[in-house]
Amino acid sequence: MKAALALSLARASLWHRRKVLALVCLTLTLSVTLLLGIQYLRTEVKQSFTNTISDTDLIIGARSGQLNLLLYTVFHIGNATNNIRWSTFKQLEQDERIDWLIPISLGDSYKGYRVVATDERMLTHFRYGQGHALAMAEGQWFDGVFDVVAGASVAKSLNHRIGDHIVLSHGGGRTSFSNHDQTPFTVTGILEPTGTPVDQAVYISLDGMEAMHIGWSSGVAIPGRTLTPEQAEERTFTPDAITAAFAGLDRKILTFRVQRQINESTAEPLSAILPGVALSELWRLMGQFERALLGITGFVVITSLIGLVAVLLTLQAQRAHEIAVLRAIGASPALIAALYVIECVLLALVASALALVLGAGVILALSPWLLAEYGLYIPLRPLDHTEWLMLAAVPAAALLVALLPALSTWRQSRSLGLGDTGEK
Amino acid sequence: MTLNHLRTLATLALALSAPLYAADNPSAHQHGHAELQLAISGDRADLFFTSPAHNLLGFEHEARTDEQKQHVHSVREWLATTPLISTGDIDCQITDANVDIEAMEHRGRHDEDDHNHEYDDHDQTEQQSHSDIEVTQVLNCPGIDSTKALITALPEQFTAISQLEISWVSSSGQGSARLKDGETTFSLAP
Repeated sequence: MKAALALSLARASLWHRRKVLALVCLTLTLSVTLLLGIQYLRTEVKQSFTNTISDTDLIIGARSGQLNLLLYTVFHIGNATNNIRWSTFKQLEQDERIDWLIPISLGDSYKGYRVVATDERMLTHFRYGQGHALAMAEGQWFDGVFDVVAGASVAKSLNHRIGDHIVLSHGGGRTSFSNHDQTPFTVTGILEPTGTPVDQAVYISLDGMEAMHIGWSSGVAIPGRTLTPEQAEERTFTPDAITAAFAGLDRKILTFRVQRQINESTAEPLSAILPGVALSELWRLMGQFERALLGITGFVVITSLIGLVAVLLTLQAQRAHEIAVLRAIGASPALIAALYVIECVLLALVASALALVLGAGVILALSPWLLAEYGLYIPLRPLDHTEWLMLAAVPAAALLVALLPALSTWRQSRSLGLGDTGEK
Repeated sequence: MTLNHLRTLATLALALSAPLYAADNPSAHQHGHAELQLAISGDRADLFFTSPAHNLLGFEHEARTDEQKQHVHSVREWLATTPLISTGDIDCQITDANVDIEAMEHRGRHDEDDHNHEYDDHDQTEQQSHSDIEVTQVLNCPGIDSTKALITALPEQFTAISQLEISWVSSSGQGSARLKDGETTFSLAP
């Protein structure tokens, strides 16, 4: 009964001061949204990051550090130190422990996007996220020497359709002066968006990569030596080298053994890395920054709560008459102290609820843009355990900070008599 | 970027590149650091642990005094009979173990010249040679595939290991963890 009375009194009191408190509530809402948003993004970006590649047990490339190999093969950042011989790749194919291999050859670009030369094994075996395979949004995987498949972001930003003819550039970079003009490629397919760097590249055959470089020397096409598309269709090509290979093993338990054996190969200096291990190392490197960000947001919430107390304490001075009346009609000092606590917690609850709605709205609104612009897939999902705990911490903290005005009011109202406003 | 950051990055780079240079380069050898590789499939876990001998024994030369020989023996026994990981609830059983600690027991020819010297000076010994101890264990741990976190006894047993790099492969994916200053529990979340 008393609780119901306190609640209705608190509600009435909040409503009475709605203008000032709405502003405080807005500040609190924004800071809680920020806190939750950062934590949500942290989880999702990590998820998106670790989902970049899955089910690939080893990435094999020329000898280098594992982060470098991971960055240039999976994230298209940086360059390969060396290539691996095609004969070595063929030998790896003979290894019975290796279930599948995807060869990839890098080095050229298309309007700033990477050109990845590979074969149909990319479509069959490459997995991202929770074991999702690549899928064609339109058209089909390349078949001919001069066929090209565009990643979703490339097709979208450059507005490519099936049947478009495109000219790839020699080397990397957004503007290249040496283009493979003699050997234009035809878009035969466009991949479904994946939210991974796969979207940011175009895919051609290893034959296509070889064919467009015939007649090239020191990065320049020698006139008369290059192939025409017709000539190229009639020839067969064998690459001398590829950049790296993704490998899947029959038995995962052998991963480290195969890795050690490849790393110790004396025929050609190779590095085999575990992509999941390299990804978690990379994430650990960046982890300090995201923790710092979360820490700062935590302080924003604390600042808002202190602001809330400041407002409550200011209001307290104005409420002396109200408290005197309440005491006169029989309200106990405890009830009056409880009023402050209830008001403060109610405010925090409203702010938390508003933050949830606001956060969900922002994610819904920004999600397609983030995927299109940054290849970052941030879906709307229910909050996880940590996020709920963070959200619950807000009213709990409000309860704690409300004790300050509550205690001082309780003390004042105990010594309050009728007709006395408590003002000294 | 402060010197501390640079040092962290350099240490990281060293630690990361450690397993990659085995054929033509000598492997990296950093006292205080050790590496544990863990492959889990069903109830079976394959472990490969490698550490500078100094972390486990306190010296890297051939054991000479009876005390040192006894120490090498007890470390070998411990590594061969203690499962390096456990799930907390269920103890793992060793089905196969191999401890490569030979260098500590019988040093090769190239170190024979050193036999007449005293080896109290750590730096002097370090210049002469480095030794690593490699341990492989095959464990049977019921329910390990669904375990979220594992415990390793290594940092407690060998307090000289200040940083233990753990890489793991399981049905849920791959990942790594770094245990510092006596931490013993690591998560198996990718």
